[in-house]
Amino acid sequence: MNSLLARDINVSYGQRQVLRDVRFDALEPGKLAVLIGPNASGKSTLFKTISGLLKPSSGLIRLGDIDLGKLPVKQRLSHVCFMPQSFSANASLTVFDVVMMAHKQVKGWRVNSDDMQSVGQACYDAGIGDLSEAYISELSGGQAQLVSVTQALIRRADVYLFDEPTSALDLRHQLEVLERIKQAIKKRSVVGIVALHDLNLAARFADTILVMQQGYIVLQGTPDTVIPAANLADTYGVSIEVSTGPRRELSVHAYPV
Amino acid sequence: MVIAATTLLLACVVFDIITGPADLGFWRTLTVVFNPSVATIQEQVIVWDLRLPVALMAIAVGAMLGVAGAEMQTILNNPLADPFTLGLSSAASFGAALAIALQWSIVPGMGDIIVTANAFVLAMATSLLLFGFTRLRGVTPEAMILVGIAMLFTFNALLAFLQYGASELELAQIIFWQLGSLARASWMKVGVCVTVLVLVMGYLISRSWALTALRMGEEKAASLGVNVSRLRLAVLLAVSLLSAIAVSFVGTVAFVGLVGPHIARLIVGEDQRGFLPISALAGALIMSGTSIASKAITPGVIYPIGMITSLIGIPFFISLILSQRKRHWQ
Ligand SMILES: Nc1ncnc2c1ncn2[C@@H]1O[C@H](COP(=O)(O)OP(=O)(O)OP(=O)(O)O)[C@@H](O)[C@H]1O
Ligand SMILES: [Mg+2]
Repeated sequence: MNSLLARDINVSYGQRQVLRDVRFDALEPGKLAVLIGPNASGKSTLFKTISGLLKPSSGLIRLGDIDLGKLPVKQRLSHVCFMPQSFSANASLTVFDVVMMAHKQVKGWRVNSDDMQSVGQACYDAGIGDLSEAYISELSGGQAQLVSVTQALIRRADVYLFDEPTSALDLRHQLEVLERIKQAIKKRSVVGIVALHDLNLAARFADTILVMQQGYIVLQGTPDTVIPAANLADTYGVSIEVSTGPRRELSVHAYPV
Repeated sequence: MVIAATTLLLACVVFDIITGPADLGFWRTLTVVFNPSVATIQEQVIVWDLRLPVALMAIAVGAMLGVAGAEMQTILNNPLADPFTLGLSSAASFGAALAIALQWSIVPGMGDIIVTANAFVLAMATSLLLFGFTRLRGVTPEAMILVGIAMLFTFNALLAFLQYGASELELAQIIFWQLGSLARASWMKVGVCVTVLVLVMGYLISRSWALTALRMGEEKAASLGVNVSRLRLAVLLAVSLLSAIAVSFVGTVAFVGLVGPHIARLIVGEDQRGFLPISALAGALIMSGTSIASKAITPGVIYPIGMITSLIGIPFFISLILSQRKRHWQ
């Protein structure tokens, strides 16, 4: 399976440059990478660029030997599965329908019993089985986000990008969803990047952490090396204390300066 | 569901044909429809040249407005979008008024059909303008609705200006046009409507997957491989054509494009495979019902349909919403 790397990506919205020479070293398949960084630092923009929804003005994104920039969007989206940050939609479509649509993708409407089976199973696994007949407009914020995660996980791809998949979830669901994502990445031996704001969750689930600040990737490394680094305090503009718990887990405490 | 609605629609058509100022009776009318040779010339004219085109026109235009409204609401992500709120109807009215009050034809050499031609050209121009807006960077669907509403007011103001200067006769004509009427139906117009409707429906059905995906949110649709901006443009063009033709043939008919899709949404949700045909059927049913009502309220008088759609549509619509609410409580 293939690793993902990026070199010198520049992206602008009109005149405004948002990603600046973004580069990260090969992210290995089977390992979970977590992308952290303050609001507006460019995390979502980076995800959209990797998935091909935004065109970089320059730069290279490679998956194994494939230059993703050279692939047409449709083909690229069969390699890269991107779960957008916005997840609620006010539509009269059922949960089952939207998960099925993610599962079938552009292959269209024709559905066989295997498809029905896997969508049913995916909903059940995600704990949204009893919601499958509900309209997505009637879900709670957290339920809608669970649906969104399910839609991403049911797809088959080589790279998975989750943009803040736990922002609306309670404690138990945060842990469950990240665990499920981590297991899926490992089992499928694919590249996974999750954008998170919670540094404790990042420390706990990440194999690699990428830190983004003002459009640059400023750090890449294991949680042990990145989290305690003094730069994080600077990145977020807070003072940070890191302690190691009884099970060697890192816990992060932040205080306003 | 579709079968039930279609049956109901057929019943409406039959009913529409048998009602009218001249009382031909149920069986006599049907005989004339299926076996024109036995009829007197007068009966033939009434049934074949007057009532049948009107009945079919009602259905075609209703379906067109239903489909146009449904897809405008889908691509603009706004349940209030329809040919009326986006200003197409008022553009058409203004075009018609130009022809009536000033005999001024936008496209030269239109002869008898300058009223229709003007209405069509202006409605189409308005949607092209909207269309141009979508191409600008950073224009959101909300902004497009606002532009549409701005058009609505602009054309209404221009129309008022024309009305102010018009003679009494012209004024009456303008108002009559504006109120909407099926009396202008002809077999030719029915043919045009049905052809365009079939073509556009075919296209929309072929895009039904992408359109349904769009309802999950723009970003999510894009992440599933839908080219959102291209889809918006193509669909907007298609439904503009539908609504421009519909309003230029029958005048302003508010409400159908708004309510047809709402009924469909309440019944089958927004999966386009059900949503699109049911929107069309609902629109057709409302128009057909309106056509009947416009003749039946006062025997011998045919009221303008634009007036009737709102009058019979609104109570029906509100009761539908209320019954839905009750269902949620059970
Ligand atoms: N469609 C857009 N048009 C113009 N500017 C945009 C657009 N989307 C994002 N931006 C700008 O790009 C910058 C980076 O945005 P981005 O969404 O990538 O940040 P982020 O790191 O994901 O933030 P958050 O943690 O709040 O999700 C911000 O300054 C934002 O204002
Ligand atoms: Mg973001």
